[in-house]
Amino acid sequence: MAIVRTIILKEVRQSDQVIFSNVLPVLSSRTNLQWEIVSDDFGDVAIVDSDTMLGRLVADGFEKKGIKTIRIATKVDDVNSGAWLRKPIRPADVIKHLASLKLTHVATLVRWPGKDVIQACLGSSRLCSIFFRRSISIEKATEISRLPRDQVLLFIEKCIESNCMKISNEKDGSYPGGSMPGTKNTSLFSRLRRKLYSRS
Amino acid sequence: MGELKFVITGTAGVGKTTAIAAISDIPPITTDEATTDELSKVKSTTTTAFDFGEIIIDEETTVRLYGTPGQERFRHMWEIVATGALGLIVLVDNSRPDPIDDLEIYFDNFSDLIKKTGVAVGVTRLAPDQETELEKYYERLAAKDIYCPVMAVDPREKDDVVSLMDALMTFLEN
Repeated sequence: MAIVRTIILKEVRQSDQVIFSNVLPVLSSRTNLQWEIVSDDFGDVAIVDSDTMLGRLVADGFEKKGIKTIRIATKVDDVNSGAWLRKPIRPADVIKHLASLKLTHVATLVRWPGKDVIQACLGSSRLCSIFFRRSISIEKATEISRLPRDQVLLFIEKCIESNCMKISNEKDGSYPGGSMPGTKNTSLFSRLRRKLYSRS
Repeated sequence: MGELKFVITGTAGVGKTTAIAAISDIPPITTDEATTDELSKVKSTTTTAFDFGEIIIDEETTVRLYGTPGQERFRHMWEIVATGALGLIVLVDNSRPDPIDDLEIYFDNFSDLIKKTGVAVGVTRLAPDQETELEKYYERLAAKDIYCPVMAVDPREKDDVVSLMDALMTFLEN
């Protein structure tokens, strides 16, 4: 199964959006990764046209969330820091930029989410266990949880919204929380969960 | 396999008996006596030995829920109730003068059980707009190198108690 990399396009002109759509097959071929444009607010990389005040605010917001952000700007002076693409953007530049990105976002659940998050996402208990006080990449969490990637992303999005989760560019690794999820009493707890949730 | 049980502890009046009643298959068996001290202003009876509830999973498997007496003068009961438990829930009343100190008392007294198994903390009487206050619990626990789920709960709400139990079990599976 190919590893999927997702691109968020925000405040990007229609003509530039077409360029991004057109380069995806080449980018996927070049990187051996499957690149997709998503409409969510969470992805591997955010591309934001920062020639407007709104665009700059949106870009700042993604950076605060820890999402790798590339700004599109007319002049380099308009770009505060980080990666950027000069307008007018060229397909070759887009491919070069995205292909060279080191995208190993890891997520850490810093506090336990409330029941609104738990009930909103499939497999959220399992994901809490995987992400709690531990820095884990989305790919790794998807693999361990055996949940669909979009469910893992939904959980992450909800956790970020409720300030329960941090995203960073660290490597996969342990946090003070301890070992990886195990199977202690899993069978008993699964049955107990079924019983409890069947009545609630 | 020995007795399958979870222990719920916390200050007097925090809602331990109510939490057990919310998820037990049987009406909780209580050892309540009339309150005679300061606590009588808050509640008319208090648990002196333990509360007891059951979740019947199937014909062969029953999980028991024990609620400890909240008052520290009954602390000799805490160890007896905790022996062999699968995990611990600590309920903390956020409206008390120093709820984090309350929490520490229970973490200190149940430290053996916590080390052997695990713990989840339910914070009661926390208004929805006060949820950021949960951060102070996490901070104090982190300072003691303790990492566990901390959630806002209303012990009268079955969904809240189920979520807390789920968090504890998820944490114990690690």
